[in-house]
Amino acid sequence: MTQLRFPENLLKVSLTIAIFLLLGISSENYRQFRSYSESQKRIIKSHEIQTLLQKLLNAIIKTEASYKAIIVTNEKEIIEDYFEQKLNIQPQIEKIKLLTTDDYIVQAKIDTIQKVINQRINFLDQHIYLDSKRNQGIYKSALTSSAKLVEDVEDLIEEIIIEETLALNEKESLRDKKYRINPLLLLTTVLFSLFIFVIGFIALYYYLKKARKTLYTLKVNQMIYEQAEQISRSGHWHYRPGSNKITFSTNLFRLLGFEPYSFKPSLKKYLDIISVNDRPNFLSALKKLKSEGHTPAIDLTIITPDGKEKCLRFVARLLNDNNGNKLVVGANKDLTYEIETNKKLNRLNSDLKMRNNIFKYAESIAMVGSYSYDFEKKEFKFSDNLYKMLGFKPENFPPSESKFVEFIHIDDRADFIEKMGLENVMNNFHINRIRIIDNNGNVKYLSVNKKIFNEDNSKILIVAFKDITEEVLITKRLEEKNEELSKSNEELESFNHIASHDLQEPLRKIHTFISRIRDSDDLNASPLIVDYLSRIRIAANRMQKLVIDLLSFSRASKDSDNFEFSNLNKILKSALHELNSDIQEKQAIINYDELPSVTIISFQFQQLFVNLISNALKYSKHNIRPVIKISNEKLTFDELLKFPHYNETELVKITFEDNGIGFEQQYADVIFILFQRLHDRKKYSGTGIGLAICKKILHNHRGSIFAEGRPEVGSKFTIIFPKTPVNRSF
Amino acid sequence: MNNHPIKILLADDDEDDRLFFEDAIDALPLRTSLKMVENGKELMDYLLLSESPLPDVIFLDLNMPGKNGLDYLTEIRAHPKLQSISVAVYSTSSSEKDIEESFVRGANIYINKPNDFNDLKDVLKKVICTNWQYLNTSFNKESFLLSV
Repeated sequence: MTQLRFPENLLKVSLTIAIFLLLGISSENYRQFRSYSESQKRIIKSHEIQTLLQKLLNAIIKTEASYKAIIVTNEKEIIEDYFEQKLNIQPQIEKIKLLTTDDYIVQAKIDTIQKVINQRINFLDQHIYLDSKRNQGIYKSALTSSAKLVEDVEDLIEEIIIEETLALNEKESLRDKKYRINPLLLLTTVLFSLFIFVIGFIALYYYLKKARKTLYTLKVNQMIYEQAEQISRSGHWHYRPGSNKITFSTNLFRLLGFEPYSFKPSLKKYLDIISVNDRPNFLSALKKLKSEGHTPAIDLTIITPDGKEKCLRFVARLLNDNNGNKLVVGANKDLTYEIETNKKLNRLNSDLKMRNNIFKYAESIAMVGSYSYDFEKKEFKFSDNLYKMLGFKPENFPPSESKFVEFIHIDDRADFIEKMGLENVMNNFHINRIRIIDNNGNVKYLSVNKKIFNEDNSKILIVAFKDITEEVLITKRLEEKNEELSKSNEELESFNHIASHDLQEPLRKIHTFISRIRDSDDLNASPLIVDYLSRIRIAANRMQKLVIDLLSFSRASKDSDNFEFSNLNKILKSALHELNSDIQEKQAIINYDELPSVTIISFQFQQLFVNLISNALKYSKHNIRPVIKISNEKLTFDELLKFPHYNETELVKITFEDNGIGFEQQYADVIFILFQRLHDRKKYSGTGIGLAICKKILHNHRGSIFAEGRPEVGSKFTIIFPKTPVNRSF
Repeated sequence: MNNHPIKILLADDDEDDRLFFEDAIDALPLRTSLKMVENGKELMDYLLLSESPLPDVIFLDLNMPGKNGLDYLTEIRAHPKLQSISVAVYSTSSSEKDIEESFVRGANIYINKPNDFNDLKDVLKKVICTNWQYLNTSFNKESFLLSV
């Protein structure tokens, strides 16, 4: 913007000088004009006086002449003439006196002349009627004095005239002198004034030109200002204290909800727009103007004409303008948009905070922590939970890779740095397990994942940790348990050994000794002793069978890895082969379906089949040919429900049905319990272990066995088991 | 049959069993010379240190104090001087594991100690009369377990 500075003082001074000069010249001119006309008048008067004096002198001379004529002629007619002449003298004197009232010297001389004249007149009047002849002497002296008088008056008049002329001349020469100086002065002054005016005009011209330019800039600025106001959603006002006149900017009208210049702004109107609650605020803010020179920035709610609420920020300042006048300038800014934006931002912010919290919470719940590295900013960040995992409060120390490495167990450091370090730009590394020693000296196990993200020109490394201490401990505990288990398995093995060797050995010896006694030639045994020996042998046999059965029961409980894909038909056949002599003996009829191939422990299944079939043979009815039916059946709905982890095609169901003595259904569960027997041992031999072994075998195969019995009709044993029991977690 | 008695060595810690064994051998109509030791250490001492000629067949009980019979079986089979001697495992145990292990470690035959004295005689007769040199070439797992 062009600075508009007008040389006002200079112009003022020159103008004042010019005016003074012109005034001076005018007054001088006037004065000169006045003095000129006066001297003109004086001259005229002087001439008049001279004429009058001349006339007076003439009148005196004529009187003298008349008087002389009287004396000479002594004619009385001439006396009349004298009086006539004498009458002319006095008015002349009066006239002169009148003209020379301001000239006391002339007056004095006139007075003297009058006196002389009066004396003469008196003298003449006395002597006019005397007879000239007789009064010769008198006349003579009279004539002499007359001549002297005329002479005197003449002298006096002469004197006056000379004096007048002299004065006149003097004045005229003075005036001439003045007239000689004036034109030069006048010219100079006029020229100077002209110069001043020209300068003034030029200054004014440039000023105007500048002003026009400034005005244009001002107009542009005004437009820019209005635009800026609209864009910044602000408005301004100003007012002069005392004048009560307030001016609003265009946009202020809009801010307040009005068309620009649709009303005459006033403080009252302004106040009316502000909501009632905020008015005291506004007024108290205004009061600070005087004391502090500005108001604090306050936020006001206003009510627009259409009843909407708006929030405006308000601030005012007391200024001094160029002229030293006070001016209050106020600014209003529409905060509605900012508030909306702020609200949105706050909402987003709180959303983000919430998410962050959720993340933090999730991190700590999941026992996961991470650090990131921004390659651009070269900046590490540890997640809160990573600090916690290290035994610190969040942001306890400045994060860095080397700092983290310090916590790693010394044996695991190299591997970590090689795979996870910044130098390794390969993506997606995983370490199953590193050990860290946290701030409290606790050893923790972490699994580590590394990933590098390239996004929006920024490259970020993220290394994430999962605390697997618990898993590791559980695994360790499990390993310990396994060890214990394998130990107890070993113990079981030794029990097997005991059962198979140590328990059997005494029995075998008893048997051998009995056989030696029996076969002894030199023993004359009584029938009683032979009977006793036989009873001993039966008891020992039974004991031996019990031991063998218990041994197979314990072998059935053995957790075996010997699952193999086996053909059940083959297993059934070898079971039947094993039982061949019994079957022959009882002449049993055995019908069986085609059986599927399944993944099982085959020797256990052979035992299972043997036990079930031999059971059927054992509990057959006397004199009735046993018929055993082995069927491969479909599962019923209820049976399927017992195996929720398998579908129908994955399960096998086989039933063993006989026509034996059966049993009461109430005993259906009891029969599977170890050493439980339903029948008299004498009638039906058995150790009460066989079905318990069956149950155990099915348990090993994640299957189940159950029995249905009808006394004197028969029993039905059902086994259900999955085709592949392994690789299923429960 | 040649003129030399068949030299038999029994290693068994059980006195009763040694008695049965001796009676059974005596009862056999064979020319035998029986030497009995009570444990594995005695067995090895006899085989390696004594001046006596090596036995034709060793009957080895598995369950003995100190080292297990199977361990001595391994030792015997590893020793160049002893490895050609026939070894019959003679045990109360009928456990699969013991049988399997004996086979793997190079026993010639596995005998379950029988319940009956007559059975014992039969088993021993069978074993002693077997020409092991001949059998060695064709012996297999099925015929390994000798039952009467």
